[in-house]
Amino acid sequence: MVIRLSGTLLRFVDYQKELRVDAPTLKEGITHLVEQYPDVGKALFDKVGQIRASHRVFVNGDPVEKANLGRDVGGEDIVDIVTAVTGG
Amino acid sequence: MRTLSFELLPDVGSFTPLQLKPTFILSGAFSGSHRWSRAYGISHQAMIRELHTAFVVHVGKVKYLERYVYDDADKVGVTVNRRVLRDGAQVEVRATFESRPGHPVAESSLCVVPLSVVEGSAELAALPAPLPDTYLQEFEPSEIFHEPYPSPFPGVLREIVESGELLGSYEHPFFVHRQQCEFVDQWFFIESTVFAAASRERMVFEQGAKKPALRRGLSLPMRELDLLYSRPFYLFDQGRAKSRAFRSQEGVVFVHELVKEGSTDPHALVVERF
Repeated sequence: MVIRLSGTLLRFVDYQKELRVDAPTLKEGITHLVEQYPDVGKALFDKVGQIRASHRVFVNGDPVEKANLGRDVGGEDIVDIVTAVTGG
Repeated sequence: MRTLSFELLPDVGSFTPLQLKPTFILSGAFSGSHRWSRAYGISHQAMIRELHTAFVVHVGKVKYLERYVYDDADKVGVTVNRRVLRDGAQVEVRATFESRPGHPVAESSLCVVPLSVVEGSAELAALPAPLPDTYLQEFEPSEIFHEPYPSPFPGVLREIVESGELLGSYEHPFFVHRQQCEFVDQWFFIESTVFAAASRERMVFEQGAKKPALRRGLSLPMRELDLLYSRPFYLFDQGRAKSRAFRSQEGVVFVHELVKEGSTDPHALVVERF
């Protein structure tokens, strides 16, 4: 899968707009990403390891509910992780 | 209602040939809001650090009142007040810009929405939430209202589209650079006016010969500017200003929808009246 992060998260992956991750499921793909870039995990997950309500995950443009993060994804699927809004 | 007054010294970059730039006015209003908060309550940095509260601009307005060009500009007096609306779900910032005491040249209003910053979030990810009681207590009773912000949207769009004559349309791409972002790499709302103006000017450049009325978008000073923000852009986002120009009874109006590349839902709307 190809993971794309919204601009507020790019500094945690050294400004790579797209990251290719090999994993059979969405959840494992995000886990691999976080293993490689731990600061992304601090931004994405709350204290109990759930994705924060302030972030949304999309696969090929379709929103994914938290309960469905274990879904399969293919090598060409595009995963977008989007910050809803940040304060300023 | 408490006000705060301060002076700004505009420079040559603060003006077009015809007037103060909207970016100068919006920036003055926004920083004026921070000054007011610091003077009468708590600094913005402390709000984030101690109250886990930040703001995002939802609606904005600029109204030009009197001719004011660089030759006239020695200093600008800014007077700001803030009031809580919807019992803490919105804050209105009002700013008046005067060339000298008693001579307002422009005024601005911003509707800002408080956000609850996610604990431990370095990028200040947040969700809308009413102002915390600790901060509400900093306002005087005369500054707290139940009613919502009087947003001109969506009525203003319907009125323009239904009653105006379409003069032209244009699409202009943009890319969000870090220089256009706040400190967390989310776009700074003021940049919406720059993206919209770029599309308008390009429309005038490309189509102004065939549609002379379009050229009023450069030859006349702007009268009013309305802004609506639905969702932010971020660093490296590619977007497009989808612009339309209408002839109305009052003059020429440019309506810009700022959309993300590949999407149709506007992140922001910019309405410029000339």
